[in-house]
This record gives sequence, C-alpha cells and structure tokens, in this order.
Amino acid sequence: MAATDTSRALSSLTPHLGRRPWAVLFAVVMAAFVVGTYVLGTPAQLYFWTTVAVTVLFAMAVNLLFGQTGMLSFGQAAYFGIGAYAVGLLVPQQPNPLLMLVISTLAGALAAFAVGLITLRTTELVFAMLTLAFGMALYSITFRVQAVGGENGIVGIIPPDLFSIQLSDSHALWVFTAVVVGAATAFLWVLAGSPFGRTLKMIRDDPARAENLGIPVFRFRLAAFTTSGAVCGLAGALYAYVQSVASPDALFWTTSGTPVIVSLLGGAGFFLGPALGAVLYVYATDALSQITPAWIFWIGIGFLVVVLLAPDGILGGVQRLWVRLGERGRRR
Amino acid sequence: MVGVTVNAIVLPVVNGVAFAMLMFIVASGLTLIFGVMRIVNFAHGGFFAIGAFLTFTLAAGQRLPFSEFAIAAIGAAALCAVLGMAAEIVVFRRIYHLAHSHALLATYAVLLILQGSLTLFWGNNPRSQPLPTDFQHAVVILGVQAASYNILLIGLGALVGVYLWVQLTRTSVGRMVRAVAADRTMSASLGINVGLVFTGMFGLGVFLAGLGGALASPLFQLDSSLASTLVLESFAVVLIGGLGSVTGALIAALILGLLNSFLVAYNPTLADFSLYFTMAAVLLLRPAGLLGAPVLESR
Repeated sequence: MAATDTSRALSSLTPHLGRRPWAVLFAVVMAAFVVGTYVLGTPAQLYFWTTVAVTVLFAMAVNLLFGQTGMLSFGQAAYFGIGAYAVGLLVPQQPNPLLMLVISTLAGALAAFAVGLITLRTTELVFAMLTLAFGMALYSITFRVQAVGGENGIVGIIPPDLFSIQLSDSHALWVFTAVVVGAATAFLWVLAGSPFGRTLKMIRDDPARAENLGIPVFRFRLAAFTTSGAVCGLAGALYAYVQSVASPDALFWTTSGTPVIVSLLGGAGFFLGPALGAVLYVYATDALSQITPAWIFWIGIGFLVVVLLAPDGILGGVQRLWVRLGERGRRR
Repeated sequence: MVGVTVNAIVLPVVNGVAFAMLMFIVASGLTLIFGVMRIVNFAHGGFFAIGAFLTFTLAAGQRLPFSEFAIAAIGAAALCAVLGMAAEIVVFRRIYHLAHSHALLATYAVLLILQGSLTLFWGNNPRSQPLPTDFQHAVVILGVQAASYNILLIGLGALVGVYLWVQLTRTSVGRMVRAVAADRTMSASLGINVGLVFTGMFGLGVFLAGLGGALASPLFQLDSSLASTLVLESFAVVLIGGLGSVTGALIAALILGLLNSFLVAYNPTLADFSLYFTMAAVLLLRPAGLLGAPVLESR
C-alpha cells in the first residue's frame, strides 16, 4: 500500500516541532467562531455549520486511514452508519447524549476491529473492495430488518436533554456538536504527532521497510482502522442528531467515497486538509443544489480536476507556493 | 409431483442464467479495461446507466418491435463507446500511471459526473422502458413458463462471450491487445500503437457497459441511482472471477446469478447479502479471484 511520491515528499515537509503555538491560536480562533455564530447565527446558518462540523469529523476519521496510514477504504460509511443507527435505536430509552456518543464510538470501533481483522491482510485493491463489500452487506441488512425501520430508516430522532440543556434547540446542538468535534480533533491531532501516529506515517511511506525494522505493521494498521471506525461512529452519532434520521443512505457505498475525496480536495497529506475540504464541500453542495438538481455533476468535475491537477490538494498548492516564495526571498 | 420439482429447478436456472448473462456483459467490459489498462473503473456503472437512458430516449420510451428496440439498444451502446473513447483521451490516459488508490478516486469522480449528467439531461423523474413486443410473453421450456426476454438475454450473453473469446485469441487485433496487456513498453517498442489500443479497448469495454444498460433498460426503473447500484454486481463478478479474466467473469456471473435466483426462490432474506458474502469469501480465500490473474486468456 505504497503512497505516492507526492505524499512522501509532503510528510518530510510537515514539521511537528513548533506547531503547538499555532495549534493554540487555531483553537482560540475556532472557539471564538463558535461563540460568535452562537450569538449571531440564525437557525438555518447554525444547521449549516453543524452539518459542516459533522462532515469535518467524518473526513478526518477517514483521512487517519487514507492520508496518514496510506490505506484506501471504500467502506467507512459502515461505521458512520453504525454510529447513526446506534443513536436511532437508543433514543427511545432517553439516555444521556454523551453516553450515547460513547456507545456509538465503541460500536464503530468494535465493527471496524472485526472487519479489519479479516480484511487487512490483503492487497491495496482487494482491501478497498472488501471494505466496500462489508459496508454494502450492512446496507442490505437494513432493508430486511424491520427493527431498524427498513428502507426508511429510523426517523424522528430527537436528541435528549444534556442535563438541563435542550439539544433539540439548533443553537445548543451547534455548540454541543462543535465541542465534541473539537475534542475529537484535538485527540486526532495528539495522535498524529505521537509515536503511534509517526509509525503510521512510516508504514504509509514504506511498509516493507517498517516490517523489516521490526514494526508489527498489521497490528498498527488494525489499530488505525479501529480508531478510524471509532471516530466514524462518533461522527455518525452526531449526524443522526443533526439530521434527526438514521437512514440506509448513511451506509451506502457512495457515502464512503465523499470523505476520501473531501480529504484529497483539502490535502490528504495535511492534518487539517480534510477539514478544509469538508468546509468547501458542504458549502459547494449547499450552493450548487440551490442552483441545479444536477449538482453532483459539478461536484464530480471539481473532484476530477483536483485528482488530476492537484493530487496534494489545496493545502499542497499553498505549501508549494510558500516554499517557492521562501526560496525567492533567500536568493535576494 | 414431478411437475413441481421441474418447475422449482428449471425456473430459477433460467432466471439465474439470464441475470448472470446480463452481469457478464457488463462485467466483461470492466475486466477488459482492467486487463489491458490496469485500472479499476468505478465509472463503468455510469456508462451502464447512460446506456439504459439512451435506449429509453432512442426508443422514445415506446413499446417497440424487437428489430427497432435492437437498433435503439445498439445505437445507445455505440454512443456510449464514443463517449468512453472521448473520456479515455481526455481523462483516463492521465491516470494509468497513478497509484491504485488515486486512479480509483479519479474514476469515482467520473462516476459522479456521469451520474450527475443523468439528472442534467433526463431530470429527476424515474423513467421506464417497456419490453420489446416480440419478447414480452412467456415461452414453455421443459413444461415451465419462462420469460422469453430472459431467453434472449441468455443467447446474447453467449454471443458476447464467444465474440470476445474469438476476438482476443484468434485475431491479429487480439494478439496485439494481449501483447499490450502483457508489456506495454515492449509492445510500444515493437511498433504497436499502444495509445490506440488503449482507446479502442476502453471503447469496447464501455460499449459492453452500454449494451448491458440497454438490455437492462426494460427490467429496471431508470433513475440516477442506477449508476451506483448495478456497478457493484459487476465489480463482484470481476473480482470473484479474477481481474482481467473474461472466462473468470463468465464463471463468476453464473455462480452469482444462480445463487441469487435460487435464494430469491427459497430464502429471499439471504438473497440480498449473497453477493457480498460470496465476494468476501472468495477474496479472502483467493485474493486474486477464482481464475487467478490471467492476462486476457493468454495462450
């Protein structure tokens, strides 16, 4: 599962030293943004930003595999959907919403662990297809099981109150989602910089060498796959709250394609690439779907241009520009 | 009693083989494209759906005699082939050298474009194409009433299979294609126009996708989800049979088709998953598929 030369070059350009001040600044700006939108935003705007936050988390979870470990799974919708369905099934019991997020996360992790155990010993292509097959098997099951609502899914999901805060209110749900996504992002960020995260990058760049150095590649990949499944489950749970529904669509294989391409759009080799891509993607689909019912046509064109012309994404382009400007400065 | 037993076996066999042949026609195109160009083409389902919709447009959604339906179907498949060759020249030849994962994502983007163009040109309302008049009735086989359109599918599938086999193994063009599939650099240095072979084979592969779509148009509701649903069946067929093997695709299609029709008849709940479970089981036991990875039936 060798990554491309571009991503290899990128990883050497992404320094981990001295990124802490920037991270603190970023977190402060984001917190200010959340507070600002909470005070000033209309319910429609907050719904938009809540959807963005969920898409960001889903894309970052998928990019832990795709960008950081060099594994393309076409079945992450399965864990996303499992998270959503877990919420749908448990909402009638009115549990604490935080507990529900934990359950969805664990459900995603457990399912991913089981699938990873079976599929991770295969080749790049077979892995992509097997993960797709497992996801689609789940998708088919939802049509046959009446307990999960058949083809309509579980509708009318209303988030229960968090202590005394009504999460059914769009303002409260936005802050709740933003805090959860923020915490999960911080977790993923710490993970990416940890010895574990760096080992994943090494496996991405050269699996054979990692194996020869005594790194148990299979176990690391399984750990990455399980972690990704866990975060996908968490994103799916938030999705069910935001959309008030857990439908088979969340499990369909094209749902798995979106976060991968979104990561590529922003820059899969960068930690925040998937987040940037997700913001642009949700904005573009929102704007395009108001203009034309065939919005997916234009999304496809946009993705194709990125894959063909800028495989290192928007941040990759920015970085190349930055490096070039730096060189010019030094020459003077 | 005897009648019941025959009925319970013959009918699923006819239906299963007919569905298998439809899958085979689509999947053989997919496996040809992989065998020669080494890319897994998600966009194949998009061309399949375009073929179905073009047939609907050329036939004006009318119930036609078979001769006219056939002209519409072949016309639709030919238009698909032209579209496919254009796509090969504009997009696909830029992705052959990419890593598998990036090439896969590029073809996925093309799938989105094709799926979007279904909405762009045909709108959001689902369409339906009636069966040709000569093939809307049942025929009696071994005392069992079977749909005559299914018999037609079986015949056409066999025809496509024989054509591909002869074309690949018995003609000079086939020899050239196999040479390019085996070693494109060496072929190019021996004077074979590799680019032309790529474009031509991509056209043939997409023609088969379009033909499959045309033949499937009377059997399915035509909406934009067609692009992303049936493609998975042909993916399963190709992966189970072994990427790049036409014979493997035929065997895999027959296995999946028969398994599906018997399960539909006896245990419909399992029928939905049979595809994915068969695919998972075969890929785990034989990652290269049933027939390994022969390069287009090399002899």
